[in-house]
Amino acid sequence: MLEGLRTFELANQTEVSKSVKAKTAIHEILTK
Amino acid sequence: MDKIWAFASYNLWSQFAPPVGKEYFHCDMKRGFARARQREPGVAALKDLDNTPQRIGILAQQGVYEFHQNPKLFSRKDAVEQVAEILQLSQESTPVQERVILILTNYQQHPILLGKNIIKLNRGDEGFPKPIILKQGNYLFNFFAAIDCIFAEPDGTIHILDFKTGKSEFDRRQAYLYLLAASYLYPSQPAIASFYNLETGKQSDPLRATADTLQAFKIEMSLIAQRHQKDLKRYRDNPAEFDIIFPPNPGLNCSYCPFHSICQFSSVILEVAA
Repeated sequence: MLEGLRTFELANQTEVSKSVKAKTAIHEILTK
Repeated sequence: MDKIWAFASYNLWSQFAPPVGKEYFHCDMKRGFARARQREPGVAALKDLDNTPQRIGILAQQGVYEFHQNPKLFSRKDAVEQVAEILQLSQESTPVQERVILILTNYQQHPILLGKNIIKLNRGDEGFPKPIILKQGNYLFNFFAAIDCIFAEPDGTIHILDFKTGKSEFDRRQAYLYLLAASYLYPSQPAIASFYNLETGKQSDPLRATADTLQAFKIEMSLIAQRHQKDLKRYRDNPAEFDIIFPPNPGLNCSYCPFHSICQFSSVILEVAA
C-alpha cells in the first residue's frame, strides 16, 4: 500500500516536473 | 473506445495565453464566454457574428483555393473578377470586398503556391478538422490543427503553410503546433512550417522542430486540455463563480472583444439611445 502510494507520488512529481520543463523550454524557444 | 471530450488546439491555447509580449491584451473571461457559455442565446448570437477580419480571412483562403482549382486563371486578365464572382463577393460589405479584391490581385501577381507539389489545400470553410488523438502519460485528448496548406519541397520535406491576412503578427506557437500535427500525419518525413500574409506579401522564415521541442509542445497541449476541462467543470458546478473561474481583464482589449456588450466588466462605454 505504502509502496503504491510512493509510486503514485513519484509519478505525479514526474508529471509536474515534465510540465515545468516543457513550459520553460517553450518560453525559451519563443523568446530567443 | 469512450468518447474523448478533452481537446486542445492553437485557438484554445491562444485563449489561455496570448503571444509573448501581448499579455496586457489577455482576458480569461473572453474564453469563459466563448467556451463555457457559448450555448446561451445572447452569447451565441455574438459569437456567431462573422466580423470583418474573419470574413476576409475565409474569403482570401477560398480565393487562393479557387485559383489553384483552375490554374489557367493565373494568366487571365479578368481572373480577379472571375474568382470574385465564384466567391459571391458582391454580397459582402464594401470594406470586405475592397480588401479581398486587393488580396486576389496580389495573389495573381505573386502566386506563392504556383508550381508547388501541393498535397492539401483547404478552402477554409471545411469546419473542424479531424482530430489527432494524443496521449500524454495516461491522459488522452483530441488535438485539432486546422492546416491551410501542405506541400512537398523538392527534397521531400513536408511544408505546412499558414495564410494570414490583416496586420496581426505571426505567432510561432501556431507553427510549432502544425509541426506537432505533421509529426503524427507524416511521421517518416521531415517537416517545416511557415506563414504567408496574403495582404502584405510578408513571409516568415520556415520553422523546424526537434523531437524534444515537439514533446514540450505536446505536454503543453495536454496541460491546456486538462485545465480547460477543469474550468468547464468548475463552471458547471458553480455558475455563479463565472468571474472567479474566468477572471476579467478590462482595458483596451474590450474594444475588440465580441462579448463587450454583455460583459459587466467591459471598459467599453455603450451608447444609449436618447
